[in-house]
Amino acid sequence: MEFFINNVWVIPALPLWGFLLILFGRAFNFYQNKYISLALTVGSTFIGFIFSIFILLYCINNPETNTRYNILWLDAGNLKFSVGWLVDNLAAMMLVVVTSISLLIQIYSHGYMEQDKGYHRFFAYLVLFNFSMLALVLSTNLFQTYIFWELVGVSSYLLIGFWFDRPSAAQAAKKAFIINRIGDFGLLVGTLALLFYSLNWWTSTQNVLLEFATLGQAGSLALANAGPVLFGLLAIGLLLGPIAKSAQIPLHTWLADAMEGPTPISALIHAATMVAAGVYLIARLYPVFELSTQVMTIMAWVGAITAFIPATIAITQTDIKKCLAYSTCSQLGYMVLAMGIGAYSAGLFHLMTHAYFKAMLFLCSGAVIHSLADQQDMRYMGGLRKKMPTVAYTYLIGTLAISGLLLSGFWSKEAILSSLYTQGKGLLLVIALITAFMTTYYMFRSYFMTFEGEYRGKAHFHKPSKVMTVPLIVLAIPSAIIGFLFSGSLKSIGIESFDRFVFNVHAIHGDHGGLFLPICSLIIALLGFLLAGVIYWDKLTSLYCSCFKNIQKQITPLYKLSINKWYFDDFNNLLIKYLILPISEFLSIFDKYVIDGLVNLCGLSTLYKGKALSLLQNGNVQTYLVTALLSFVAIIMVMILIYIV
Amino acid sequence: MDFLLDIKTAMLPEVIITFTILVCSVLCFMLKQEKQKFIYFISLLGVIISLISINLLAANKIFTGFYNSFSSDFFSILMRFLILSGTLFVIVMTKDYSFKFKHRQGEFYLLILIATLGGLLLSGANDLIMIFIALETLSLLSYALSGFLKKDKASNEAALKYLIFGGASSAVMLYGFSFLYGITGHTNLTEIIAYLTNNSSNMMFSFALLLTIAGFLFKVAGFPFHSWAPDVYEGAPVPVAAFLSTVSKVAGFAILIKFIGLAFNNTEAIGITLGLVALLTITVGNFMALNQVNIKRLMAYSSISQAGFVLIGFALLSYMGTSGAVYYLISYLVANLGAWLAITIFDTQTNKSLISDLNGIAYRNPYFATCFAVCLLSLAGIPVTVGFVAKFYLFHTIVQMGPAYLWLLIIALLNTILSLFYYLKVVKAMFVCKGADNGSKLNFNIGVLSTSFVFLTVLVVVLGVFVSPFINIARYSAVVIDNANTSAPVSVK
Repeated sequence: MEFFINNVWVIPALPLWGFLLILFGRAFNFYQNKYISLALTVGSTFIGFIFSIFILLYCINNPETNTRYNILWLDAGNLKFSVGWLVDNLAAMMLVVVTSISLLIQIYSHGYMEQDKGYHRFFAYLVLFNFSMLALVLSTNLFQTYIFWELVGVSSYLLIGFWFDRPSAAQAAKKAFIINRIGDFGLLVGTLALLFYSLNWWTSTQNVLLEFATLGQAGSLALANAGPVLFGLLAIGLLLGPIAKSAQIPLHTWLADAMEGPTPISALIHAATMVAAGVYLIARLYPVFELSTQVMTIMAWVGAITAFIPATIAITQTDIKKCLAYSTCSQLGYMVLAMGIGAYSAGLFHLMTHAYFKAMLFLCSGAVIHSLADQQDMRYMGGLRKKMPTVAYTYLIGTLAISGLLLSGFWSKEAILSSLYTQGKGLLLVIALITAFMTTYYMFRSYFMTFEGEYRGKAHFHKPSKVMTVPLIVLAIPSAIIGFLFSGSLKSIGIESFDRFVFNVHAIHGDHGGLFLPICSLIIALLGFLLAGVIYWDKLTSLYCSCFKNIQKQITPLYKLSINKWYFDDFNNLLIKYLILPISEFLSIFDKYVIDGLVNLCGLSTLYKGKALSLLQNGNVQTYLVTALLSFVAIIMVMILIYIV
Repeated sequence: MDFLLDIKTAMLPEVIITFTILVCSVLCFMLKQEKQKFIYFISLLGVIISLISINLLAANKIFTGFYNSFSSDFFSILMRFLILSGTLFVIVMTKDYSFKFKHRQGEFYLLILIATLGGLLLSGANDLIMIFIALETLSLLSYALSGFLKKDKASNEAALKYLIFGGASSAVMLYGFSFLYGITGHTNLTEIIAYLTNNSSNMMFSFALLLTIAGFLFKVAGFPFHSWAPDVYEGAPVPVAAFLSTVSKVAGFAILIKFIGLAFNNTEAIGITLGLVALLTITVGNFMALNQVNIKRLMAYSSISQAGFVLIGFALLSYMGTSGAVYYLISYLVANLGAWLAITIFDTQTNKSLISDLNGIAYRNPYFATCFAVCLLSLAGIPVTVGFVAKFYLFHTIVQMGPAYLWLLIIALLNTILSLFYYLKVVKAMFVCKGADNGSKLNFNIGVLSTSFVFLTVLVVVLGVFVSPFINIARYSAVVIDNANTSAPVSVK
């Protein structure tokens, strides 16, 4: 077991090698066989998965595991940056989540991308993402995290714009990148500020710079040095990174557009792993955030609002992937909300269960889209249950899970709700419950529109291949049971509850609020299910259709608000058009005439000086010698002058 | 017996190289023209064995040979390692190029090896006489090598210019030596240091030191003794130009560092003067490089300005500065060897050397162009390459020396921007400009040349990412130099 912990670097190193091999494989006539890329990708992830499983088992047996290994990377005076790897329970959990989902999605991608001419490029990007994500998970310090944070951003950019010949995909990639830059900027400024205020502590204690393990002490020192206001700003800067990466309001708009990428990517990066990296970073930086209650409150409210608003948007979406994207956004909001109220382990628990069922939901939608020749609009679907039962039933499992109807989502959402209850955050609890209601509603809506009723589309249907359905079935298992597995009910056979596993220290999550809350949330979920059924399920619609049609007319303004995504994009566009563009145009004029003019002047004058100097280099050795000796005499004169003066 | 033991512990690589030279010289006479290629392998083998033998030398102790006129310490071992690896790549470069030497192929390797021997001796020399002999060995062989293409007018001209210039600067250096001897009464550096610790230095000593340094400035092509470089680089055979800009430079810097050490206890006057020389070297090299159209001349000016950056490290007259200079030297050697390998491959196959001849080569030979671009960007100091780290570390040492050296920093930084222009000009030619339609495709298949080229490129990137080990080596060697110059002198038998 020790072997796996000591050689944990293998997990990210193998994908890196795979990436380099695929990238430079052109010289070795690589591109004639698709299976080489596939084998490299899947092989590297599979070995990583085996490693991760063993590491997780080790961590379950030794809950106090905290192995750190650091290599001094850059040594410049006081700044000694290290890179290394850190294995603790949290990292072990993330490793298993990332590698297992990656593995299944890579196999699935083979079926999905087989006909695409960019097959090798796709797998190169995929394996690059894998490397950066796994290295991000294993980072020992904030500095290293930042490197891989950017790298996952780049691979996400490359994959969203994978079909770069489509203008919409290119636009979406750009949007995702730019919005993420805002977050990265905050993270960088926050990191530097934290470093600035605590540098003395790091250097005097000889600790590894910005290491997570000692971040708490350094943070409290920074708080003392910077004062509460500056420290709050610093923490908000740090928070901006997760806000952008995990698509929290107001930086959430890129996630829905990111659905322009291939569906396996939406499943892997924009549902299960990369967007969860934001929550993971919050977990790692928890000691810093904890120091400022204001920032924690802000975090909780950002989470709550993010849970609420995208849920309302998802209600009216007709594009199956957009619906799921807003749902992802909303669920991430739950996680951040949990983090913000101090329910640390509940948020991470939801991260894990969500990763599985949301990846599966996306893969299901991918199978549907693939079978219907790239049709994404749910209005042109329907009745697909009879044609692709496997996909339909796995989608149903995912829907039940995310709705909190007794499958894995129930346990994790329950953990969040009960922490809200025990901490007495009434308003946040109400928002969370309303969101839970909406979640059930829009998820069942999408299920009914896609798989029940009559087929409304025209596209020719062809069956998804085994390569695509088998990963779905495999993913259905954790989606269904993983919540129960870690709920604490299996203590007798040695599996601790999740909050105990992840961090015994931070287990603020208290006792459950009895049976009242679970029953309440189940009833709410059932209500959402009923409402969706009444409107969209043909078996129930016939009864109540007329009554609801009237209501639909009365809520038109709300409907418009939702279908226009609360005008976030329009607001952003107006902001850019009337505030940022004029400023930048003014600056560009200044730049063009004043700064460029100066630069050109410098450049030209330099070139002429170069020409003038060349006159001395006329090929005449006599001239050379005379110049050399005269200059040397001048230099000696200078030295003598210095002596005299 | 002591004498022989000293040689074994201190000079094993030199001994091996000497044996290789003997073997090669015999083979030169024995082998027919068609079989002279064999000498290429022998010399390669000799250099590789010599490189391996360096690892056998004890790095943590100081050994001396030839009655203290040669000393082997960590620093000199490092320099000898750099020189030998440089020679290794230069010999590899001649693999396809040597057909131009016709029936005198074997002779070429003989000369290269003797020049290398000179460089090796120079990096450990500890006595004025030894320094002069080693330096002249290196120089004389370099003159012969520059004129090696007998029928080629440019090559002859290069050799003659180099010779005249070398003679003049050697004279200046000897003048300095005579002053040094006159002031201290010793030729051994250890004893000169001992004299210096006992007597406060004066202007006369600084003057002598400056005169001596002039001779080394000629070797490293520093201002004002730089003007031979472009003409010689252009006219000499490409591998020889590579040899001059890498191996010969490293040897020059090796002895320069030892001499700079003498000035550590000295006044600031030498420091300021050297700083001035360094800045002028960088600036002149850069300004002249801007308008070049020939890639070899461009590389000549580039290597002049790069030498200036190393000199900045010396001008700080401190342990930190020396470590910066040593690290910069390592980075320069790697990237410059890569660039010269690229030029050799291109020149051998197309017989062209204008920048415009490289137009659009990225479309025909993407791997070649990428590797070349990486080496050039490293010379320019772009991140992720070793060149960036070296510049960063060097500037960092300047900042640590305090505000008195700010002027050095500012002008060096400005020059970094300036240098980007001409490096990018080559990159632009390769990647942006459209070449002629019938542009020939280089043969860049897997072979010794391409492998070593790719190896160097990968090294440039790897050293740029894994920074600490080599910085530590540079620091350690600087400590060794520092100790040798400041600690109480060792009494000599």
